[in-house]
Amino acid sequence: MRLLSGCAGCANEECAQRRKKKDTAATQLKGNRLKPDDHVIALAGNPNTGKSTTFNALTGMHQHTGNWPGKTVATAEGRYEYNGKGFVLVDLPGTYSLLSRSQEEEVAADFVINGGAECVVVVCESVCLERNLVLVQQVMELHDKVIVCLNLMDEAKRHGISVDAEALSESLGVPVLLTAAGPKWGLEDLKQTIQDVCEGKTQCCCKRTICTGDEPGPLRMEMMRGTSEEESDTVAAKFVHRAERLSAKTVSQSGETKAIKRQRIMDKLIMGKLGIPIMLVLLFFIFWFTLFGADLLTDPLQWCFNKIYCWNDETGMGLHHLVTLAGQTSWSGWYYITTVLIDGVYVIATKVIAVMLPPMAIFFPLFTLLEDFGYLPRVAFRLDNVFRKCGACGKQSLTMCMGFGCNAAGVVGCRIIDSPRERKIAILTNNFVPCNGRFPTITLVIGVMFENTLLDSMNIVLSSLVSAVVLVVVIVIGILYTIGVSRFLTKTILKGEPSSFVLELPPYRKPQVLKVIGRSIWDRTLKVLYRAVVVAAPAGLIICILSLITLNDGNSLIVHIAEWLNPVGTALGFGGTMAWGGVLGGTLLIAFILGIPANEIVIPIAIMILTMYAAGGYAPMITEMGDATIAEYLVSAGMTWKTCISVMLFSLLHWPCATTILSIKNELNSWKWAGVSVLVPTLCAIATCLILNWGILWWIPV
Amino acid sequence: MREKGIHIARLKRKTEPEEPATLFDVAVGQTVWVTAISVEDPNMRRRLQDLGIICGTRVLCKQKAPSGNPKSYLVRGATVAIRRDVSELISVTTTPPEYAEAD
Repeated sequence: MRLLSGCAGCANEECAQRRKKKDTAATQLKGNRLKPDDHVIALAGNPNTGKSTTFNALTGMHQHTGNWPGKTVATAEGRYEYNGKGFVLVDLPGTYSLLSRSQEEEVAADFVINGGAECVVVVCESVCLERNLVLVQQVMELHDKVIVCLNLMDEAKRHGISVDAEALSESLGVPVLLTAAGPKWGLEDLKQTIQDVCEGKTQCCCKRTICTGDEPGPLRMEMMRGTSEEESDTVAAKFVHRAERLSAKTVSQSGETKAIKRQRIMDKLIMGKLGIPIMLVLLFFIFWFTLFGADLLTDPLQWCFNKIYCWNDETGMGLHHLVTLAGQTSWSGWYYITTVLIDGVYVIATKVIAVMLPPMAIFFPLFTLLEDFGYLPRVAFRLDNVFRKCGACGKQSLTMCMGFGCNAAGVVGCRIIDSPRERKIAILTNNFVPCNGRFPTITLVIGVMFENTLLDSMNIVLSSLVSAVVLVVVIVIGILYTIGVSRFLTKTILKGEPSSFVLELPPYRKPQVLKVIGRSIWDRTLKVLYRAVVVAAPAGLIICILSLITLNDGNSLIVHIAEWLNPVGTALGFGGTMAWGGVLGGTLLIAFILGIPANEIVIPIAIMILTMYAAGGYAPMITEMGDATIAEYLVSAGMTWKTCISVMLFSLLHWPCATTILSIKNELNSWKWAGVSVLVPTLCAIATCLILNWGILWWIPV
Repeated sequence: MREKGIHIARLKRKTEPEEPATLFDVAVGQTVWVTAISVEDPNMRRRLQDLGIICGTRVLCKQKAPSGNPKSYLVRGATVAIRRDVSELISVTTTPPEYAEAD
C-alpha cells in the first residue's frame, strides 16, 4: 500500500529515484510545437496494439516496432502536416491502464492530464477490443477530446471479427475509426477526424461513468483510483463491465477462420512437445547463419580497408605511404602525428567496423523477425521457470539472446523487465553471454587450440565439427554462469523474492520481412559506425601512443607494461614460452585491458605486441593476416591448449566493453552499479582462471 | 503388466477433470469463472483488473510451460501468462455465474 499513498512527498530512496525517473521521462514529453498554431495530439493505447506503427505511418518516422508488449519504453514525438495545419504527435508508452503506479503509466497519465494535448487518440486492437475499452474509458474520464482508433482491422478481418463502429461511437460519445496502420488503411480518415476534433468541427461528448468532468485532472485520478481497496475494486469492475457490454453489443465473430486455425497450429508447434527442439534449432540456425555470413562479409570488407591503407607495396600508394612520406620530413612531429592517426585511429576503427558490422547486420534483422512474429514472449514463457528459481524474470532469456548480438543492446533490452531488482540482475549478468565482438576471439582461440594436433591433419568436416562442439560448450558455460550468478546475486546483494509478473502472449503476426531487414541493417550500420568513431578511434589513439613511446632500452612502453603485468597474466594461465623471448602472459593480459573499448581488437593488439617483440621496436598493427596465419603465429608465440582454455574462459567471463559499461550506467543511472557490473564478471573470470590453472591444469602435463 | 497400466490410466482419465479451486489448478483446455481474487499486492491487483480479470470473468486455460508454471490463459480475447504465485490466489469455479446488468 505504501506505493499507493503519499508517494509525492515520501523520503524513501526508491520512491525518490522513481519520481526522478518519471520526471525526466515526463520532461522529454513536451509536445514541442514547431509553429504556435500546431495541434498537439497524444497517442495512447494498450501495449502491442500497433501504436508505434500508427505513429510511424502518420509521421513518416521510423520508430522501432515489434510484436512484443512494451516495446516503446522511451517516448517519441513526431510532426506531420495535413491540410496546411501542423500536428505534433506524442507516442505515449503502451499501458494497460492509467491507474497503476508503474513508471510508464504515470508518464502516460501525466501527459493526458497536464501535457497540454488537445486531443488523445486511443489506439485499440480490434481482436481483443474488450480489454482495450477499459483504457478508452479511463482516458475519456480524464480528457474531453478523445478519438478511438480501432487498429489492426486487417488482422481482425482475417480472424472473422467485425466491429460496429457507429454503435460504439454512439455508446461512447466519441468518434470511432477503423484503421490498419500496417497496410495503411483509414489513415486519411484518421487525420481528417483529428483535425476536425481539434478545430471543434466534430464534437466529442465523452459518456463518463465516474467523473462528471468538472473536477480538475488530479482529482479525477484520485476518484478513479479510489481511497480504499474496495472502492478501487468497484471502480475497476465498473469499467470492466461496461467494456464487456459494449463489446457484446458491437463486436461480432463469424465462426472459425483460416487465420484462427493457423494460430492454433502455430501454437501446437511452438508450445507443444516439439517446442524446445524447435527453439534450439532456431537459435542454432541464427548463430550459424550469423557466424558463417559474417565470415563471408568480413574478409572483403577488411580487404577494402587494407587496400586503402596500403594499395601496393611497390608503388607505395595508400594511407600507409603518408606515414613513410612524413618520416622523410625534417620535423619528426609529422611522423608521429600521421602514425597515430593512420596506424592507430584508422586501423583500429576499420578493424572494428570490419569485424562488427557483418555479424550485427545479420543477427539483429533475424532477431527482429522473430520478435515481429511473436516468438520471443513464448520463449520467455517456456523458460520462465528456470529464471524464477534463481529469483530472476523469464524475460531475461530474451535479453540474453540479444546479448549474443551485442551486450550493450542486451542491457538496453532489459527495459522489458518490470521489476527493478530483476532488471538489475539481468543487466549485471548479461555480459556472460559472448557477444559478436568476442565470438571471433573465441573461435580463433579454438583454432589455435587444435593447431598442430591430431585434429589439424584430420579432414575439414570433422575438425570444424569438433570446433563447433567446443564453441557450444563455451556458450553453455556462459549460460551456466548467468544462471549461477543470477542466483548468487539474489541471495546476496540483490536479495528478494521473484516478483510476480503477467506476460501477454500476442497473436502470431506475419513480419514485414523486407522492411525489417532494410530497417535494422540501416540501424545497426549506423550504430557500429558511431561506435567505431566514438569508442574505437580513441582506443586506437591510446594504443598507438603507448607503442610509439620508447624507453631507454629501445622497447616501447606497451612492451614494458606487458612485462610488468606478466606475473599476473602467467598466474591466470596465459603464460607460454615464446620463441623470440617475449612475455606471452603479460601480452595477452594487456591486450584484454586495452580491448576494453571494443572486445574485437583483443587478438589484433596481442599480435601487434608480439610483432613488436620480434622487431625489437615499434611495429604497426598487421591487418591482412588471415585466421589460419594468426593461429600459427600464436602457436609459435608459445600458446598451448592450456593457455587457449584460459584465454577462452577469460574472454567469456571478463569485464564488459566500454559501450556496455556506459549503457549500464545510463540504464541504472548510477556509476556504483556500473562499477558492480565490471567487478562481478572480472572477479568471476579471475577466480575461474586461477582455480582452473592451479587446481586442475597445473597437474596435467602438456 | 502392460494391460494393468493402461487400465489405471483409463481410470485416472475418468476421474478427471477435478473441480479446480484456484486458477492454477485449471487443466489445459478447461474453462472457468473467477469467484474471488485475494492478491495482496495493489499493483498486481490493478494489473489483473486492467487485463479484465475480476469476479465473474470467464477464463480458459490455454497452455502450460514444460514445468507446469507459468500457465497461459485466454481472457477477453487476449492470451496472458500468469505465474503460480498469483494464479494460486485467484479462486475459480466451473459453473458460470448468473448475472445480467443493463447498460
